[in-house]
Amino acid sequence: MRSRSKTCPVCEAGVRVVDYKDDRTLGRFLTDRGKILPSRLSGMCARHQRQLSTAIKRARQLMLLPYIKGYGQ
Amino acid sequence: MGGASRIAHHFHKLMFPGILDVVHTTCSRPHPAGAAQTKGEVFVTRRYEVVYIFDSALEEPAVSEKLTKFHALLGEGVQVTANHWGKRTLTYRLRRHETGYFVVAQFEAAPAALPEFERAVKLDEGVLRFMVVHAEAATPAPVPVEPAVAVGVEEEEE
Repeated sequence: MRSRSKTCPVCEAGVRVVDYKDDRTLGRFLTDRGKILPSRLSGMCARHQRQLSTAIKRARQLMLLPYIKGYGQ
Repeated sequence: MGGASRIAHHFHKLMFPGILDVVHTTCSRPHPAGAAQTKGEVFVTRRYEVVYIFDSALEEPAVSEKLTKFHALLGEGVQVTANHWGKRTLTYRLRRHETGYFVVAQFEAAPAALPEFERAVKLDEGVLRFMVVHAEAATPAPVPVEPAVAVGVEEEEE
């Protein structure tokens, strides 16, 4: 189980808006099945968690992130 | 400005009187082309970002040709910056395609010009998928705070 980090990783990186095209960064906030990691595990602040969920959903539509990791493999 | 977008514009005016007459100085600018003002109305433009995923069978010249065709629909004088990502593997198969040719384009256009543009892109069979969003990530980075103020902020954090 991942341990909770104390501060928001996005705030720490100095990013204002989460980019939906950055699949590598977004991929860090997915579970091993491709679900969005809850903020209680990622330590994300509320504003960035909201942005993150929108960004991940957009990235899924653009085929940058999978809806389900490991599906059909 | 095509006929359809003019109609859409008037429809908007009908439904939301007064909205289009307001120029938001913070988020939008008047239309750059000559049609900036017509009968006292002001065209508001917005920054948009489009991600296109083309069929990977298309080569770059063919893709660029399609892009110029699409972007011509946005109106005259609209400057588009297109960033070709090239071929990428898709994370899931879409209509038997395993790879796609990705292009990210940014532009500033009048909202009324978008439906016509989206329709043209949707009808094109070379486009597997596309998405138009408000360009949020492109928001210019906040102006660096003056050194004296920045020090104060750091102290607060501690």
